Amino acid sequence: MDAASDPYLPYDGGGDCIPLRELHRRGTHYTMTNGGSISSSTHLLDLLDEPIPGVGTYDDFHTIDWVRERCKDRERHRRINSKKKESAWEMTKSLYDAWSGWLVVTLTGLASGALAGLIDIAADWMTDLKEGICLSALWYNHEQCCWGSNETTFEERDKCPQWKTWAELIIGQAEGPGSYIMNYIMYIFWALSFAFLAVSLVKVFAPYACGSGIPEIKTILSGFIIRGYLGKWTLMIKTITLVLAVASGLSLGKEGPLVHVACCCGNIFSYLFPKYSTNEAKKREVLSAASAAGVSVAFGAPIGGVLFSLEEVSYYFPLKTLWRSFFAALVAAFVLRSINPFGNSRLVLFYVEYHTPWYLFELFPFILLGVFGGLWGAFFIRANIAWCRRRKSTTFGKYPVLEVIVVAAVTAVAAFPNPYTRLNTSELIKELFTDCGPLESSSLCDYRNDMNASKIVDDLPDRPAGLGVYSAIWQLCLALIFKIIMTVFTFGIKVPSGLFIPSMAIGAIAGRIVGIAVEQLAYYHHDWFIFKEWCEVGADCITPGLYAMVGAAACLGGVTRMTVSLVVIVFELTGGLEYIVPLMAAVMTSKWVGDAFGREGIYEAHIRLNGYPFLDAKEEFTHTTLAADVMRPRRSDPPLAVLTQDNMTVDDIENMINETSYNGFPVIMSKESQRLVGFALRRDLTIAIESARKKQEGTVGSSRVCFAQHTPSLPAESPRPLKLRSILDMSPFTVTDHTPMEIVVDIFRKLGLRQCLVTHNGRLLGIITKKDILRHMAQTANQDPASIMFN
Amino acid sequence: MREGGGTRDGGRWPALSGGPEARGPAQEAPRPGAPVWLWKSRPGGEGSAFADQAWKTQDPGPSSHPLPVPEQGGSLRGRGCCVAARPFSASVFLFQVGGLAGPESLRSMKLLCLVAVVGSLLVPPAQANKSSEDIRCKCICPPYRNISGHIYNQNVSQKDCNCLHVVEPMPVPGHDVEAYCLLCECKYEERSTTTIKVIIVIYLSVVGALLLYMAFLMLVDPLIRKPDAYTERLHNEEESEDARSVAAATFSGPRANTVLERVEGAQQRWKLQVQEQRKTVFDRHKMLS
Repeated sequence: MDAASDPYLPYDGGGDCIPLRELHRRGTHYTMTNGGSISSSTHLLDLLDEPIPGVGTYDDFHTIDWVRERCKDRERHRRINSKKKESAWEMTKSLYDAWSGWLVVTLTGLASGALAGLIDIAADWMTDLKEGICLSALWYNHEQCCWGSNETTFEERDKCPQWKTWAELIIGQAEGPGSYIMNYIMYIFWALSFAFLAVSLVKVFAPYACGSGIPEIKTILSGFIIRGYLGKWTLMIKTITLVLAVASGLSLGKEGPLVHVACCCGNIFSYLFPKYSTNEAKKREVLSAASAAGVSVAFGAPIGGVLFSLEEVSYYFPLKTLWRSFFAALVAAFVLRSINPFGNSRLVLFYVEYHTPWYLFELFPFILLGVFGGLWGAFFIRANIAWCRRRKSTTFGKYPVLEVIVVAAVTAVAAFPNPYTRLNTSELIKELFTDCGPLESSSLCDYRNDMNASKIVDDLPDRPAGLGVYSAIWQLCLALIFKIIMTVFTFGIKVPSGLFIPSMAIGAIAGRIVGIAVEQLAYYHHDWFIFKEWCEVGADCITPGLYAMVGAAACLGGVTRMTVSLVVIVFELTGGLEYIVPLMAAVMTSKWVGDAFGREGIYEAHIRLNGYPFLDAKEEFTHTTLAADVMRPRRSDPPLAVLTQDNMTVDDIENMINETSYNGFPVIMSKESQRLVGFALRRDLTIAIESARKKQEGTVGSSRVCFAQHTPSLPAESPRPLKLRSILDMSPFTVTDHTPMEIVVDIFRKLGLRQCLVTHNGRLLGIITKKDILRHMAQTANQDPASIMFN
Repeated sequence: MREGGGTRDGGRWPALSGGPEARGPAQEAPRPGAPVWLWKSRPGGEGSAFADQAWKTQDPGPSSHPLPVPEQGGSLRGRGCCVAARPFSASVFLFQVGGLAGPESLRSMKLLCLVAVVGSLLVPPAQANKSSEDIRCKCICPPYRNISGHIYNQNVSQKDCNCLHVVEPMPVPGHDVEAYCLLCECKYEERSTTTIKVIIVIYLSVVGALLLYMAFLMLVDPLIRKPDAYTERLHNEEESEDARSVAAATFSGPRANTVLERVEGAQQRWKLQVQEQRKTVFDRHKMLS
């Protein structure tokens, strides 16, 4: 019996597990378990000869115990390693086990890349279906339909005879008020039918497919179980309805939901590998990698995806996960690139490439854009949360289908007259990002052109704006107001809806307006001292497209409060290293301004609104309370429900389980001594007793239940005792009642505990769970502690 | 050939790896055993013996064009990827459909998807030689002097994708051609019509199958089945908790034996799950509001 297998010695293996563990000896009943057959230092779960199926799993809406899961995995790993030498088959099994991590992220990357390609192509096609149809080949969108056409002209470059608008098809005329009205009607009709189809599919088949999914994934990654949230049906319905929702023209994007889609893929593929399917903590490593793959395909930014996973979504992110995320992002981007959904050899529609330099004085408008982004973010979070709270608490939330229809109808009616809102949002962003060259024909580029046109293409000087630009600015202002209002009401309706694209669009519109304004200022006042050095007459010093990009980053930063990952994503979108400083300035400003109005980003705000048990690692806990103030039971409460290690019967335990709703029970030596033995989970207890009643002969209601190693001596006629030591967690976490809550909160955060027992002079006093801590934190922040749900 | 015969990346490679020795394997002719998509993307490679027809039409060939200019090299690399990816992406769909296809309840959809996948696997060989439809060279020429702007669109290979080859008839006299062509921007683009078609067909068939199944659940199912707890609650979601226990009790009855019964059981379990989700999301507003 070696010392390493002593479960009561201080923890000595893998330092990340229990560094703060207190050592307490547990009385005289201490005996060795398992006879040292497995050289293990962490007998959190004492292994039975035959494990009871179901023990160690979690119920829906429960919090996982990271420590337990990680130790379970180490145990499993040790077992495989020790068997490795025995035979070639065991060797293969251990190799397979070692490789399964990489295999599962590869599969996840492949699937999410393919699904992203499907979503991109199908959404483009359906978006164009609102306007018309390609008669020569029904499956082409507008761009593809006119792909080989030679009839396109410079001014109307998207018109070709193969592409028929609905007015042409139905009433036979392409121009005039009649056709406009017909197109208008068809636009609204398709938008409404797509939205209706999306919301009914969501409602009938997979209600979890609605929304953006990132708040829930954050919660799941922090150690929460939502059964079915990452399942097959959710994946299928989310993929299908995401296309419909984007195509219906609602003010939403597909980027956030793509993260959810990728996480579903990760979850489904992890079921192929026992290493991941049986261990919730390991599964979350795959999900972290999957979310990186999701952002990688959503923005065509693999590195940005990895950083997004690290900065925004993940809770536990060891280096191993970083590499796997990196690889998953790479695979996903490769697959999407080989599908080439947009035909531009890029992963996103709005990829742009600038090489014009920026000047120091431009930092001022960039910072202004950052301020705008922060204000927008703060406004959006407040307004959207208020609206969602209304939906949650009043009768208005009873009509989700009607709500989607109304929002879609309002959006369609208001969007059609304005060419900038009629466009698909991604295309709008693309148009705003693109700089005006001589090749552009849109009204945004209608500058007065009075020099001879024999100059080199790339070096157009600043020019005075023409009438087209002024009217475009008016339309953009209207589009800005429209987008701001509609996005507030759209985010949170019961269809898949992402926030990235509408936020970016708002920022891009504002940025483009500011850019044009600065450009005209520089043109008309090139003798001002700030412009004098850089902007002589005939020089090209202001790039309005760059302003649009900075504005997009600032607005996205204001809403999500991301910094590093956002800058990297935008930088990967543009492929220009020289714009990192403007982007950083704008994003940082927008974060500061946003934080001044409220510290949490939209995802944290939604987590709080829904009351998910999410213990944010970023927040500080500064109160001076002690563990005794937070623990249950309180002074007025009945005493803690405990089990004793060897003098309770099966009936006693079942009664206790039925009478209480606690999820776990401390096991003590006896009522008199109150010394702690271990901790047994409710779910494990019920499963174990049920299986014992079925399988073990002679288990009746009056059988003694024994958690100790040695069964006590019983009268001869009494039934055989039921041994449940195998389900007992014999090294539960304990703190003393005078431990400051700061330390307790830190332990919970860093180790991912689910519960912690409180002792006083070595006697069991109470228990603190993760939800107790969340409630306490809500209380100290003057919020309603009852809002923490899923108790 | 060794010095600059590669793509832009090929040129950069030695600098990264830091020695002339490292250059050898990067530039060597493709091995027959290597995965197709690894070597097919190199423009200088004598891979035509192994290449499919799509590649042959585009391959400039080592003798005719020994030194591809960097701009072309970059896109050529991408093109090789795309061509090679067609069969690959089809197999990806197989994956994804496998992941998508739901529990036993969606046999019909699974079958349909399978048909679509098999179709998508069969279609690419038939269409491989139609790749001429998949490439274009589009030149946009802005207004120049008194000539209005124009868009030229031709179906030429990448090495011919420039203003001189594509702009026909040339609108300006000979001495002005150079100035005019400097203004024009020519872009070589490619797409995969098969991928687009297959994706749209798969998407529409999945939506169609779902709609049919939804109609079945809404209309036919209540008729052939006695009004049980599920349908009642589908229409009347306000009902109290005990309906759930009733429903749970009916389905946890004696274990089914035949395949049909097991499918039925799985479907009922799935329905219960969805009902629970619906209650959580739509009625109690606990999540996702």
